[in-house]
Amino acid sequence: MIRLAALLCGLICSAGVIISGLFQPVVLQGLGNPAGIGIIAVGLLSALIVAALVLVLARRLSLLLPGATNEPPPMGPTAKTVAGGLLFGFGWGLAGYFPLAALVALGLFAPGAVIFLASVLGGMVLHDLVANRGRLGVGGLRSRG
Amino acid sequence: MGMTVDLLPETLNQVILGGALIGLAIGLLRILTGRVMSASGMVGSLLGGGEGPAAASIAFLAGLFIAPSVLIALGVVAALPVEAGWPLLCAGGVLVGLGARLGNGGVVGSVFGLTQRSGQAGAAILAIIAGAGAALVLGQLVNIGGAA
Repeated sequence: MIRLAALLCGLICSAGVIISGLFQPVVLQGLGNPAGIGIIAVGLLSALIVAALVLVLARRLSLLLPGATNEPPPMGPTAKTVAGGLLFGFGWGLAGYFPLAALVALGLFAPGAVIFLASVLGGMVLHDLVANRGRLGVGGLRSRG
Repeated sequence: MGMTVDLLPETLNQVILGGALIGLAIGLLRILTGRVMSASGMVGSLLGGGEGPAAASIAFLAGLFIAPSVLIALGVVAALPVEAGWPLLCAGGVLVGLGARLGNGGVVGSVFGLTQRSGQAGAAILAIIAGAGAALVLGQLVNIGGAA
């Protein structure tokens, strides 16, 4: 049941990415002008508002599953967050893809998405090797999700 | 009656509708599976170690992958993305992977974090936009002809 729900969420999310056009690498060129920044901001803001509404509504109706009630406490920014965000954004700017967009483009059989995603995995392995002095995947260093 | 999704979002309505669907998926995934939607986290979990990839993550990634085919079958035509050359795809991908691990998440995970009023998520989104903007400026300065 949970797998079916996750599959459905993937379908909805992918449709959203395609309809919004946010998976297109050229959308990034919008960062060069105010109208383009507006388009990216509107897309993210729209996602944020709907996600917040759905979660607030679910909490009101007590629909959250037991595992989902343990919300992570709001945390302040750390140097790692900012450095990670800058690297992530710079990579997005170079390649034109972020992981979600590339996964959707993969479904369109875009060849570059394969190269990009393989490189993302390579970057993660590189991080783990450096952070863990040669060992892969320590639980505490894993990304969310 | 096919609807063409153009290269660039033609209307703001499409961006708002698409963003709303992404938000709906973020909320539903949390409610129905208890998981945080983070594409980079889910991709990263495929590397193994720790708990390994959860079945829900694999199902979500499968949904992302098959949706374009479903949409095309329904008559919504999605244009193939115009991609950067492989050197930029490789370099950008490695940086995105490094950044996602270091900053503990990417764009979509940060949007979820914002719904939890996480200051960390807010800083992450601002840093991501700043980084992308820097790449864009650099690309124009040296005219490397990348996607950005």
